Amino acid sequence: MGRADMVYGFSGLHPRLCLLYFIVLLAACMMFQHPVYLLASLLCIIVLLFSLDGGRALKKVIKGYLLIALIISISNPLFSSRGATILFYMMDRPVTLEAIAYGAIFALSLLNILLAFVAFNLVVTPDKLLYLLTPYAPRTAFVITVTLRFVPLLTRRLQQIMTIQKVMGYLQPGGSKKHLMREGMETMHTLVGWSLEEALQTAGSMRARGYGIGRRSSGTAYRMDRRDRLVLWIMTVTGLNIVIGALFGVNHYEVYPRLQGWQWSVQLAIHLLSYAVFLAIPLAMNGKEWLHWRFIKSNM
Amino acid sequence: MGKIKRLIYTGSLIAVILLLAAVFWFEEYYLPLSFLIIGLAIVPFFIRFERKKLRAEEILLVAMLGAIAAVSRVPFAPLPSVQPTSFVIIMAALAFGAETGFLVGSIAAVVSNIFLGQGPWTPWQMFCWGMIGFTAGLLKDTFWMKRMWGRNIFGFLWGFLFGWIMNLWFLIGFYDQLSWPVFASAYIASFYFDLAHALSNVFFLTLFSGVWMRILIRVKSKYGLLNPEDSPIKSPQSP
Repeated sequence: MGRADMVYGFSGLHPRLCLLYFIVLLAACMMFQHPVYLLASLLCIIVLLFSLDGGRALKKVIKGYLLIALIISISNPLFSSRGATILFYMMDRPVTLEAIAYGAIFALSLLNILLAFVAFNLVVTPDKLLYLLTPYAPRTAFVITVTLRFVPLLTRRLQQIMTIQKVMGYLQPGGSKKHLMREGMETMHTLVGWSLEEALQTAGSMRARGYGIGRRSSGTAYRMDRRDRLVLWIMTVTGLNIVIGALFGVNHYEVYPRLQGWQWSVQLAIHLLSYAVFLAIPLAMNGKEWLHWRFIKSNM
Repeated sequence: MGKIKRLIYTGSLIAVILLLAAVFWFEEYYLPLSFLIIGLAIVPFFIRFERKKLRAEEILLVAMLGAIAAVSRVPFAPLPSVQPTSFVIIMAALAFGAETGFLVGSIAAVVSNIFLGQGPWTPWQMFCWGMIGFTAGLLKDTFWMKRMWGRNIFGFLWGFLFGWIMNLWFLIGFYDQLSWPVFASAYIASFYFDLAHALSNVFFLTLFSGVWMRILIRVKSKYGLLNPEDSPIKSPQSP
C-alpha cells in the first residue's frame, strides 16, 4: 500500500482543499448525532488511514482511544437517568436505554474526532500548516518555524550535556527522585545559558542580512491546477448540500425522551448520499493511484 | 477610506462569529461552541503580536523560550508527570512580561504537539499554558510574586487549574447531563496527575527560580529586550 511520505493522491492536493475537507469532516463528527452518519465517518476515516500509511499510525493510538471511548460510553448511563425506557436499577438509580445509546453515540463521535486528527497529522504536515498560516499571520508562522528548528537543535544539545553529566558521574540511573530532578535542572541551566544568548546573536546576524526588509516570500508554493478545481467543485456542491440539509434538520436524530426509530425519507437519502460522496473524495483519489500502480505493474 | 473598510471587515467578522455562536448555543452544539470561544480567547494575543513593532531579537527570544519550554520534558523523561514546561513559562513571563508569557506558552504548546501529534486538545493547551504565562506576567510586580511563597502558591494553583481546564473539553462535549457527580468523578480521576503537576511546579520554583531569573534578567538587560528606550543597539525595527 502507500507510504507515509507519499505526495500523490489526496496528500498531493492543494493544502487549502485538504484543510477544508478536514474542517467539514470534524464539524460533521461533532454535530451529526445520527448513528448512520457516525458509522459512515468512522469507516471512511479508518479506510483513509489505511490508504495513507497502511494503518501504522492507527495501530499506535487505537488502544488508548478505544479505552477513552469505552469509559465515556459506560459512564454516561451511570450518571444520567434521562430517557423513558428503564432497563434496570443500579444503586437505586434507573439505567435507561436512551442514556446507554447517548453514551455510545458520543463515544463514537469522540473516537471519530480523535482518529480524524490522526489522519489530519498525516495529510496536513507541519510545512503545509505553516504555508496555510503565512498569508494571515506571517510573524506567527515565522516564530513557529524558528521554534520548530530549535527543537531538534536543543534536543541534540541536551543529549550532549547529559552525556557529559553521565561521564562525570553526576547522572546515574537508579538515583533518588530528588537527585534526578536536581540534575535534570542542572542540564536545563547549561542549556539555557548556552542557547539563549546564541539565539540573540542569530537575530543580529539575521538583521545584518536584511531581515524585515520588504515582503516575506514562501519557500514552498502550491498552485491550484485543473484537478484541484475539479475537487473543489465536488466539495462545494456536496458540502452545500450537507450544510443546507443539516440546517433543515434532515439528518436530525433524537435520543431523548425515547430512542428514535428508523425513518427513511427521500431527503435523508439524498443528504446521506452527498455526505458519502464528500467523505469518499480522498478514498477515490488514493484508490485511483493504487489501482493505477497495480495496472502498470501487471502490464510489465 | 481605509478606516471605513477596516470597520466593515471587523464588523462583519464579529457578526458572523456571533451568529455562529448563537446557532451552536441554541442547537446545543456545545463542543464546537467551546472551540469557537477558545479560539476567540487566543487570537487577540496573536493579532497584537503581528502588529506590534518588534526587533528580530525579540522575535527570536520568544522562539527560543518556546523551544526551551517544549524540550524541557526531555531530561525529566525518567520521571513520569514531572515536566518543567509550566515553570519555564512562568519564568519567561516574570522576566519579560505578560504578552511574551502568553506567546511563549501557546507556541510551546503548538510546537510540542507538532512532534507529539495535534488533536482537539491543542487549542486548550495553547490557552492553558498561554494563560499561565499571561497571569504570571500580569502579577509580576505585585509584592507577593516577588516572594518565594507567593510564587509557590501561584504555581501550585495553576498546576490544578491546568488539569481542570483540560478536563473540560471532553466533559462539555460528551456528557448529556453536566451534573456535579460527573465533574467530581472526572476531577477525582485526574487528581493524581494534577497534584504531580502542582508539586513539581512548587519544587522547581523553590529551588531554581532564583538562578533562572538571574540568567534571564542578564540577557534582558544586556540586549535591552522588549524595552526599546534602554536598548544599546539602535537598529531599524522589523515590520
